[in-house]
Amino acid sequence: MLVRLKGAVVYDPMHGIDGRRMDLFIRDGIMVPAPRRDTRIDHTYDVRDRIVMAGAIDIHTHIGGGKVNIARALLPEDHMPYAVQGSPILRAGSGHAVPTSFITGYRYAEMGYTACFEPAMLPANARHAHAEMADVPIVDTGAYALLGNDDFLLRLLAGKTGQKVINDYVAWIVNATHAHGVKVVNPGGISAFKFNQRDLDLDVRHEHYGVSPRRILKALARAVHELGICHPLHVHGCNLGVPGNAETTLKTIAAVEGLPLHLTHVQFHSYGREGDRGFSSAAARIAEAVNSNPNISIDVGQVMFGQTVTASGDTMLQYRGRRHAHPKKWVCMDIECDAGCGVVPFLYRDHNFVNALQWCVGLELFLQVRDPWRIFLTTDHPNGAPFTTYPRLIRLLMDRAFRAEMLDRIHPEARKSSILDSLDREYSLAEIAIMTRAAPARSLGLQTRGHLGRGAAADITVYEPNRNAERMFSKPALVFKDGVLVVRDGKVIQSTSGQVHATRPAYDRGIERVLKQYFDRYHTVSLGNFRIGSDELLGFGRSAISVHPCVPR
Amino acid sequence: MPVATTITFKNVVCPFCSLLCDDLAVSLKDGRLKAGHGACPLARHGLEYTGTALSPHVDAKPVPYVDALGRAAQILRSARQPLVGGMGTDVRGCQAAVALAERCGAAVDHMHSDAALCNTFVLQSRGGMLTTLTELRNRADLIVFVGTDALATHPRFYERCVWPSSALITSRLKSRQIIYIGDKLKTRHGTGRGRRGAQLVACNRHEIADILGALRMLHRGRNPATTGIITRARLAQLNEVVRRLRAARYGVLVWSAAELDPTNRELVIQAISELVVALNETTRFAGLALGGADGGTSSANVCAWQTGFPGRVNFTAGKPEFDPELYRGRTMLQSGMADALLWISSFGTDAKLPVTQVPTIALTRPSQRVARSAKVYIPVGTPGVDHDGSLFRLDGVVSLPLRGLRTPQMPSVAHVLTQLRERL
Ligand SMILES: [Zn+2]
Repeated sequence: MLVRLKGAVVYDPMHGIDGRRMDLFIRDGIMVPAPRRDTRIDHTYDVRDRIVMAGAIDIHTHIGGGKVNIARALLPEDHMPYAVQGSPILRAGSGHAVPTSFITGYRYAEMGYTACFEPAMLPANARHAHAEMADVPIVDTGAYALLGNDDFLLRLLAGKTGQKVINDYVAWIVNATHAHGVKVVNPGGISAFKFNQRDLDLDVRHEHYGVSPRRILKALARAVHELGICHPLHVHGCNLGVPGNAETTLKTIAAVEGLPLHLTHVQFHSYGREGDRGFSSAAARIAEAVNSNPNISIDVGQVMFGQTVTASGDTMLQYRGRRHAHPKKWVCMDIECDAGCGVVPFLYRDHNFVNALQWCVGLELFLQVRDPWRIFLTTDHPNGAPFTTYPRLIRLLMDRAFRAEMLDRIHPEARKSSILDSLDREYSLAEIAIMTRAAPARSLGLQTRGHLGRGAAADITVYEPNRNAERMFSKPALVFKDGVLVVRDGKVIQSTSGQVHATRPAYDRGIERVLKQYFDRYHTVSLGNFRIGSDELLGFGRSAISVHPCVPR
Repeated sequence: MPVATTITFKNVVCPFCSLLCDDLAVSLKDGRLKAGHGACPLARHGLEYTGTALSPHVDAKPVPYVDALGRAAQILRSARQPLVGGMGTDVRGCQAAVALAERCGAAVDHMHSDAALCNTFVLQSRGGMLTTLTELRNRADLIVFVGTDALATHPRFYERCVWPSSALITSRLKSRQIIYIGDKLKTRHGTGRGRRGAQLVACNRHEIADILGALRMLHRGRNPATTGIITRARLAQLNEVVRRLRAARYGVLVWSAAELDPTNRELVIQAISELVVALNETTRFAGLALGGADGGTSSANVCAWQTGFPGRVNFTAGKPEFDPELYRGRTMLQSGMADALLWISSFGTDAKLPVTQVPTIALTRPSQRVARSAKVYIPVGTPGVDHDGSLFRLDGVVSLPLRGLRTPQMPSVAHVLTQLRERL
């Protein structure tokens, strides 16, 4: 089956294509070069003058697993008013800030997204996370295994175990849980909270294990690098949301001594302590550090005003944030000597000084980090806002007048203390294509996604050009997933199952003996049952496991 | 004739209570399972169960499978408001049940939801601080059992979690203390090997909430009025308990909603939650709810991610509607709101089939009694015995793979429901 998209205006940054008019060809779900003139074309879509990009990739979105599901159970008010009818081809569901699995997949596809990465998969909860994400239709999924608060690793570090064993352990976990990457959340802090430590800065020691977050961070960054896992260590740093935490963020960047690092939802980690209220933007300093350290990439975790829920592995900071819960209820959970989770519903108000300034901080980061290949568009769904706000966020980046209009509506003191109105950068379509497609694909090592060149999977989004970028990005004319037309005029017309992306770093089998002993002595699950089999994973309902190569370093 | 050989399985996950112990040895001979190492009475009973009536029935008469399926589809098609009850199945079975309910506009309710929803209500009104089995096992130095001794419903809880042979923090295990609050509790198991005995705060079931409230006041440095059950002598005892609570490094309050007084269990769970939160001002505490057997935790999780609600969801309007009062299965049957019942119970040996006038489709383990009483009876296999699957443990975080141990003679719930859905 050969399909042609005729007259497309293509943005494909991976191949340096910036708004070139051309025809695209798909054969059996794969992008192919223009065939010979006499080749029969089975179907042609006339996409003349329409903007065509690869399907978008969300590098950090909480779409499946324990904390997301606790958030659903906690918040019927986030679901009752937002119930969605099923149809002969689509499943019913509900939800605004934490939509149900089916609705999550449909809404992402309807915005032209074709892959989503769950950033906080607790190894102890991995089976659940994958089973749930298999119910997220259309889009591909992948997950980062959460490490750095597990008693096993902290014991290794406390015992001054060599890097080799740590690498073996990290690799074993990634294999056993079918992870695509590795994330650390508040290194050591989730564990320290279980020991009643209420804060933990980069160089403070964990009360029980005597190791510092710096140590954990370095060991994990090195493990990910040496194992050759494509996506660098994904870091949710210390002191999330704490005024003055920009210092910690800068120290974190310096701590890894040039190793690749991805700092996530950096907006929440870019705060100063200046001004009457002791809360200020340090986005400029953070952006400068990102600009001058090519080993660093970030995603923003933009705040958008409205009701949402924060769901994080960071029990230490979520517990502290419980006072701001809106509505007034929250959950913290210690989990399996592995990690934890905290769920706190939250209302971001434009008339609240702190919230308004958070909004500015995110935009200041977007506008001051120069290289779109190292900054990704996220709201840390649902923590800064639900992912459905992305089109509006894109407009804020592309449209200075709109930004100024919005800036006028926020708390005046916040506006005054932000440099936002002096930043006149407007993102181009090419830059948006980099930041939402090419760059995440490159960072994640997805060789056949995020571009439209020969051999790429035919994940394609076709937009009707519109001067209002929010309108354009919220309702693509067509979306193809692996060559199948899944969305027309912003509505899902066919549902498919995506793939699960994973990586398989090599390890010395000797680690299994150590782990088996550990599990037998301390756990309530045996090692064999902890591990998820490939057949089991596929049995959850994904169409395939796409394994991405590791290049050990 | 082949010689009957015995096959022994190790590290079997037991699906017959919500602890999901995964260290069982089970042997198979002549299609019969025999529980070995690690089997508690519940496991033994569940694994060794051999029901009769292996054939589907319609109107109490054996029929071919397709005929039973056809009749079931007919019942669901002609019903205005079907109810999918029981929900005693694994993750895949729950997924198939929700899909079916959506297709035929049914309500979904789990057989143990009266108890489970009390936990949900407290969660939805105030949240909570919770923990999981491995945390309790390794970190707790104080465990408070509220209104339960866990023995009947979770027979190996002590062996696997309370008194393990080793823990990550040895000192916590060595100094681990147990307190019971309630009556008719077997406190003997609260004494570890060579350790001091458990403390008992004896009170009636309906007094537990007051005791917990008094503890919270004492913790806050206030004296509760000495009226009713809070006598002077009692106050002295409670002061001692509070001293222990405050001295604990990591305390866990354990309860089982099903064993609390049905007239005020929500209050008790709320009081537990408040006490836990208050104690966290200075030290670490967390709650652990027992329960969730018969796939209860799996059903709650699957319903939450597929519908947005942990159960008692109705699809009659084509979209999920949550109303824990209105869509309570038993009430729907009694009030005549439901006019057809699809009952799923693939773990229990007693199918707990509700007595009702409405036409009933029963998917249960083989049972002569159910075969006689249901309009349509389709015997199904048990996950982890007859076929593979997965289940959530009581803490809702950990799920475990289940493996079929013998050649299945009956289809899985998921299989039957998927075929049924295709006929609607
Ligand atoms: Zn996040």
